Amino acid sequence: MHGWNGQILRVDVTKKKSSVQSYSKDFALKFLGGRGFAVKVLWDEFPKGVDPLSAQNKLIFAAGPLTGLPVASSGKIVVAAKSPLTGGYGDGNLGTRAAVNLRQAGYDAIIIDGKADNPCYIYIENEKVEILDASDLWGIGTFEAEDELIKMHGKAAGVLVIGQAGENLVKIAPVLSQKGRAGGRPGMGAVMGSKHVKAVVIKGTKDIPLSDPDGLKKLGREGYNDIKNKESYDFWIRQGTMMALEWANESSCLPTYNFREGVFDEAKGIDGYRMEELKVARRGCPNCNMQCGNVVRDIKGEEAELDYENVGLLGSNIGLGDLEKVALLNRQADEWGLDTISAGNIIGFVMEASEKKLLPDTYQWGSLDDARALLEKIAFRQDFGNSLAEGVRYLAAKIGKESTKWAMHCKGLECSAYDCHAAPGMALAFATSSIGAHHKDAWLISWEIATDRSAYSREKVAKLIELQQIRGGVFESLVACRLPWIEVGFSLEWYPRFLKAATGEEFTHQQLLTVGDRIYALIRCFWKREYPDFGRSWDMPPERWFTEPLTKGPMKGTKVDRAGYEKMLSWYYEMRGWDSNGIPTNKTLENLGLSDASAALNP
Amino acid sequence: MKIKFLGWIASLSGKREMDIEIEAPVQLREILPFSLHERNIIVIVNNRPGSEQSVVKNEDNVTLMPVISGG
Repeated sequence: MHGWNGQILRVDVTKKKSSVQSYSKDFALKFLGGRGFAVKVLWDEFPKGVDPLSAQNKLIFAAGPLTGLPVASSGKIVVAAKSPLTGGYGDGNLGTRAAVNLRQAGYDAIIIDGKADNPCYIYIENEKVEILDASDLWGIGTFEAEDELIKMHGKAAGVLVIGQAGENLVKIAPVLSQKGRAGGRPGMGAVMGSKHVKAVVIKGTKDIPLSDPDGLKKLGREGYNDIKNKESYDFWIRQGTMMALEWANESSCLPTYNFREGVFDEAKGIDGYRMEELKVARRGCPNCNMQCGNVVRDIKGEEAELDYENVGLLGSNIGLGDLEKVALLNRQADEWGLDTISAGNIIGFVMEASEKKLLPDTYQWGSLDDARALLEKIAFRQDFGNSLAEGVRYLAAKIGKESTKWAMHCKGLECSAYDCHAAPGMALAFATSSIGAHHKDAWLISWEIATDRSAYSREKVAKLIELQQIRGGVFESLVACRLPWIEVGFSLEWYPRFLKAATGEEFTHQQLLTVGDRIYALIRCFWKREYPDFGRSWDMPPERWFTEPLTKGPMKGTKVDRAGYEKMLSWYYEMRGWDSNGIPTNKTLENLGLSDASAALNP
Repeated sequence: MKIKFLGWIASLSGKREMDIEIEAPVQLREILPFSLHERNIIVIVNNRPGSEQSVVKNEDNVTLMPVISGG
């Protein structure tokens, strides 16, 4: 094969053994890589009902056919497992040198099984695979642990690491790398912690087999130049995703006070222009020429890397309008290995519960001290933090008294930083996202605002599915970053060309979308197998967006219309070829080459 | 009337906001300092989607926004 290494590394940390598994070209063509590989492995190898924090769960790091190649923003990897937060399929992606090294070590994916007796880390150097003692690293933060591992193995090594939160099985712990890159929001870091794996360190020195190496190099160079010459490039380099803060506030979709409002009075204190005043450096992922990690000094003078999601959730969503303070929370979350999006949701939820006198202690909106204390409680599962570490769905069930209405999650995963009172299509995007309320799979809100945000239309649903196919299907499987596409207007037509040069295979745009459909359908089957009652009622956004209109800003008085939403959900199922309960029909599964899934769901 | 330029469009216009007096309703393209042709830019006029063909009046609020895809 070209483009793919054709090999998956399996590591069993219970037995301290590793092996290499080859896979077929048919598998590669059907599932492409990344998320596609991950869900297929989890579907095929999992019995129903595995405890996500047991030795039986599998932690998968999967690259794709473009990962690590000299093409636009290709230094990313998917991390996946059954989620301890949601109980369904969970994944995320992160940019890291480990992605490039994995491919150059001769593998396309790593599957970690079992549970080590003692803290360990996995060291991979081409064919050499070792499971090494990590007792000195256990209990320290991600920054320090990565520094130690780099000291031992050299700067070229790629490191995937968890913080104390992952060790403590906090269900919102992701996997981190390079002091600020995080992936696997639905508790992938907790799965790693449950296996007593502190880190995976990878060094690869081989060439990735390519169909047309010279052609790819030339094409890659042309692509990078195309990106650099885009009109929006210079501003992107200045602000990166932080530009979205002003955008969201102006559009009434900036999460504010636990998604109660879409505008924040102190937005100027945390926006991209304020970030520019504080910026000291820019960081990013390998193979990227539009690096978006903006580094500022926090209120204690420490470096913190910011992006829009962190600031939306740890800023406006908790009523904090001082970017240096937000930066401190962000750095602390990265060091302890907490997902900033879910952490901001949990803190916002607690502050609202405190305001409503549902808690014995007081936590004030906008208080840095309160927010930091809550963050620490979560990471270390201290007293009340033991409940916080389970996520807002659990918290709301525990607190009761209608708090489920403002527990901002879908399928157990807390919402990313877009308030949807005035964006019903985006609410549908969150609710039908395959891992829960995450923006990665579908980000309809730009299109929705540009067309008619108040509409409940078939066109909106069709656009949502197209975006899910591209974002959640194609980019998550290539594996490459989607940001060049929309943010600077890098055409999708580049990707089949990259694939042709890498693999020798011709992919049409439609074929790639079909891969996306296949992945979505299989993930849907995974959820259904885990939860017999899984279906339509799981595809609902938080109740707050239906029942409590915005009270401020230009969209004041707006909320999502329930009947309109239900209508769009029905269209969504119909267009996807799923039944009225949201389960892929036998015909759809068979058309996608997933007959085995059809048979498993309908024995 | 007030026109806001968000994100990279502020670089294009050289300013983040523009106040302009117009005597009679005009198409937006007649008062913008740049063309929207072949540019992927969202036009909002009084919280509703618009275009450079939208006819605007002195009391209108216009926002030009980039298409972005989230953090």
